Amino acid sequence: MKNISKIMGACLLAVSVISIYFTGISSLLMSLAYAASMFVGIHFLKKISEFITSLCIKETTSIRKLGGKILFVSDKYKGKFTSINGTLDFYTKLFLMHFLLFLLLFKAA
Amino acid sequence: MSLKFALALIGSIILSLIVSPISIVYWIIYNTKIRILDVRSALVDRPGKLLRIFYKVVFGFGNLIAILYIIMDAIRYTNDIVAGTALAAILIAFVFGSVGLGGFIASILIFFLERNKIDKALEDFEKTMSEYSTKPEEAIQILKEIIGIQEAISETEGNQESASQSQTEN
Repeated sequence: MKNISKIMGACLLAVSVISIYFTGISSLLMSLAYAASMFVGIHFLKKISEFITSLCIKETTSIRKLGGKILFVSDKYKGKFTSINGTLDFYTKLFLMHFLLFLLLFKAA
Repeated sequence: MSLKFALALIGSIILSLIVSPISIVYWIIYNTKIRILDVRSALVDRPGKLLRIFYKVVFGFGNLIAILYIIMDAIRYTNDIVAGTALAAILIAFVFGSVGLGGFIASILIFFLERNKIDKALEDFEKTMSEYSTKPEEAIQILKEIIGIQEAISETEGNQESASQSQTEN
């Protein structure tokens, strides 16, 4: 699974660099603006992530009430944001989320 | 730069600010060591099922549908398949390039500046969930029942008991 996210992340990055080569400097400048906005969003709007995390917790507890069991597996299955694997894994999630929104927005424009 | 394009640029930056914190939760869900065991259907799953379904439907299939829609619209606009596809490809490449590289730069920045906070958010999530978790012994018992080991054990125990009873009667 980790290898898949690594390959996916590398492919996404390679294709985006090729896309920038074809679309020119405007795309590169926009990528810097997006990078800044993504970072600022993650850094300052923690309330949004906390709210969604609490929704996930509520969902899990309601499943427990319905008869589900919450298990803790070993640390082998736990991911950490401390390596290139974690970064690429995070990158693929961040990318997919923004691509659709921006595509539709620029289509509308 | 046209006014519409500038508005789209500003709108996309505002949307990016709002949407990007969701990716943290999604990353936490995929990297946590918490699993939910559905006893009725014997399924082991990650938490945050609704969020994962929403993400897959909207951002997974939604991306494909949006790309097809843009290609179709560009073909209709130009009245030519080749020119329309080329126009759509330029737009897709433009967005792909800017979002792809932007996302990578943001991920690198987060890796160097925010990783401890994200790891802490994961720890907090697991700490909260640990209050509701099942004990390992109970979980093993349930898993034994699911696999069928427990039934087999109880059956053999029952057989042994009935055999010993018949021996004592004899």
